[in-house]
Amino acid sequence: MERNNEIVTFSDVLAPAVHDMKNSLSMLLDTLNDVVAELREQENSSYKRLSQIQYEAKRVNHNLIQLLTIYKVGKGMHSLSVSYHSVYEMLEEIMLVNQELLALKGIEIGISCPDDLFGFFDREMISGVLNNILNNAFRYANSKILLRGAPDDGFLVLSVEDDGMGYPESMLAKVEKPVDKVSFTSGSTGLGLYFSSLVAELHKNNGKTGMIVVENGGEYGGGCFSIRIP
Amino acid sequence: MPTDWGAKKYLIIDDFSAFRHSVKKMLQSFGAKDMDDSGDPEEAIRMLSKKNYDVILCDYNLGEDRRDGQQILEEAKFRSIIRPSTAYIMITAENTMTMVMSTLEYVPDGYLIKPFVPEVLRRRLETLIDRKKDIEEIESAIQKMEHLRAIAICDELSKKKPANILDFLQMKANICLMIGNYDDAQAVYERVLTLRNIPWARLGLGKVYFYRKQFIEARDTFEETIKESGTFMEAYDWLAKTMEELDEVQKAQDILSDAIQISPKAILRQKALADISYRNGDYDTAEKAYKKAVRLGKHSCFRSPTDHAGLAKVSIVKGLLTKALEITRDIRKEFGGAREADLLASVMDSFIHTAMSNEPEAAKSINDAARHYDAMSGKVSNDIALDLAKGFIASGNKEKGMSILEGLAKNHYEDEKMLRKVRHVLEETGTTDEGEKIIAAARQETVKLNNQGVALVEQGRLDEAIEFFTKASERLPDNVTVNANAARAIIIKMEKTGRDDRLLFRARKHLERLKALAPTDARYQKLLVKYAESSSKLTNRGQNGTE
Repeated sequence: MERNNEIVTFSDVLAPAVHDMKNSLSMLLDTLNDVVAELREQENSSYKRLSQIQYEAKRVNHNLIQLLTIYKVGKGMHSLSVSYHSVYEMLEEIMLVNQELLALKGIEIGISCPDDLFGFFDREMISGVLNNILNNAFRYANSKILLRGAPDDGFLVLSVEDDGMGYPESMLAKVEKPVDKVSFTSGSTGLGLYFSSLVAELHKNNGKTGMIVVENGGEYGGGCFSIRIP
Repeated sequence: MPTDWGAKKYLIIDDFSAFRHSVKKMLQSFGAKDMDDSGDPEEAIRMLSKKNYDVILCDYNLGEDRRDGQQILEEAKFRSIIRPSTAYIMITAENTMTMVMSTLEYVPDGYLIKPFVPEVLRRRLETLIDRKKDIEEIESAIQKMEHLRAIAICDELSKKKPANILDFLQMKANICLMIGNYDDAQAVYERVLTLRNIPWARLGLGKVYFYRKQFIEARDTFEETIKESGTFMEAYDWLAKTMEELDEVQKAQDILSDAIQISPKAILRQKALADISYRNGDYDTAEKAYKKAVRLGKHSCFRSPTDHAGLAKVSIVKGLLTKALEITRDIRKEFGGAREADLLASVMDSFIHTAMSNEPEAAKSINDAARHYDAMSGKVSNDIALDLAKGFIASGNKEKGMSILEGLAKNHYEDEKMLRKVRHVLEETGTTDEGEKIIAAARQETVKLNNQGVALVEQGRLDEAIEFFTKASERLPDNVTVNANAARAIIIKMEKTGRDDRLLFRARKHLERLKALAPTDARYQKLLVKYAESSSKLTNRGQNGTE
């Protein structure tokens, strides 16, 4: 009875719906992982085609996670869970999650990071950002991707570099102040960058705020995405 | 050290059998052998109580109208059916729920976000199992009340494993709080805060202020914690507690209301909100919160008939007496004849019938309550005892009511909050004059009793003193001073005559009671340190003897 006066907004419906979709997707991905593994063992080459489905499903999964996070942060229902982590360990885990799929396209992934580098950050959130960027790099890299972790002037810098064509001019410009400038109507990459800069800006320390940098160059001369954590 | 997968026992809890199957396959590929799984939360809890698992992987969401992964964890920890060394990993579908969940003692050891690949599971478990081994060592020292040793282990591990230093610092500060070493706790929290603005360190600093009764500083610190980390729910609970100490009861209620907006599923917080709004006379808020607590209680180890009783009280105040009777019927039905629940239902019935001016029924109800009370030899929780006393006095059995209040006054003669509650009942029943005499006499008698025993200690008649306080503590099991004196006499005796396992055990029994009664009482905290010192000295002597 009390409910009559409440106005249900689109985003209120969106959150539980996204949650439900994520559950289905989780099941789908789990089963897919098993099937792909089985087919590989049997040396059945159709696993390669299934892997493409796997890739797309993962993309949808990343997008849903991002939507949910943006929604919750916006509603004040989520704040960072910052702790002290080994950077190398996190990068290694990200590599493990992605390398199988990357190998199918003949892309090699490597890490450049001192193994005694530690930092304060929200591991799940930062992993989410990097996984998402890697998922894009899968499309644009030719044969190499590098995950880099390094300290720089009071910041911890985590980068994904590839040997592809690099980011288009329009995106390089957009990233200067992404949260203000992201336009959801202009292209498909809007969500990922918006999410990345949101996560970056949630990381604050000593009056400094995190940021993302999108540029071309890096070790392999392709696209280079960095998140700088204070 | 490599993980010995084959030697460990695993339990996987998820309502999707395909998922359980796939996790089992992953574990198997690492070398795991002993694996159980369940899709039903109730069955899972039964399994937990029967077998000691090393690793539990539990999905958070286990289906509509069933317990969730957090409630299983709470039940398991609350009933101590999992060991401190068990690794409990919560599996979630999203990455945003970590902080919203619960208080420190009911936080899972790790989170995994679905879906995950085998290598990630392997790594996370390896790290976690290694970490749990260290934590187990510390926790078992705490359980044995060897707090000083626990702190020493924390210091040692901080040096040995710098990667996990924050874990050990957090534990160390926590132990310092337990034994009342607020200076050291503060030093640790401040050290962490110079590294980084970590919410638990800020919260810890607030706790230090709170325990030192610097409530203004505590308030500011908790407020700052919330400002910086709005979903760190424990900070709201502490801020509300602080506001109550500052007599800002309405603010305390508002803070809990805010917190409940963010984490509506936390039953203990719903209860706290209900109780404080009832006291504040905000019956609409109280009613809503009690209702939610009742609903959440269905699947929680924190389920209690006092929530239903709270709802019944609100209905009485609002004059909805038929509805109140329905609630007491529900209590009897839902708790299936549990004595304390039946007792509470009968007390509430007597209130309702009194409000209906139906004196014969009220008398009948209170007689039922008396029967239950006697059958339980008077061992009921304090809040229920207060209601019962009120019921007795209101329905004419003043003598029985007063004797219950006298018992409370004797056990808690130093606890101002409890005495305030006793005085409130006296006011409500118009027996203040008579009651105040009883409170004064109870205090006098208990002080005298303790002085007698302390005199025995001072004369060196330790055996007599121990017997004296043991007997006293049987009569007044909730009396803090009696228990503290009993433990102290025993420890002094052991310092003189050496190790005695039976005495050690008896001292610990009193300390454990004190821990439940007054964990922040300075006497208790000092005894903990003394106990830790003497028990380690005694152990050393024992070790030398065997050489």
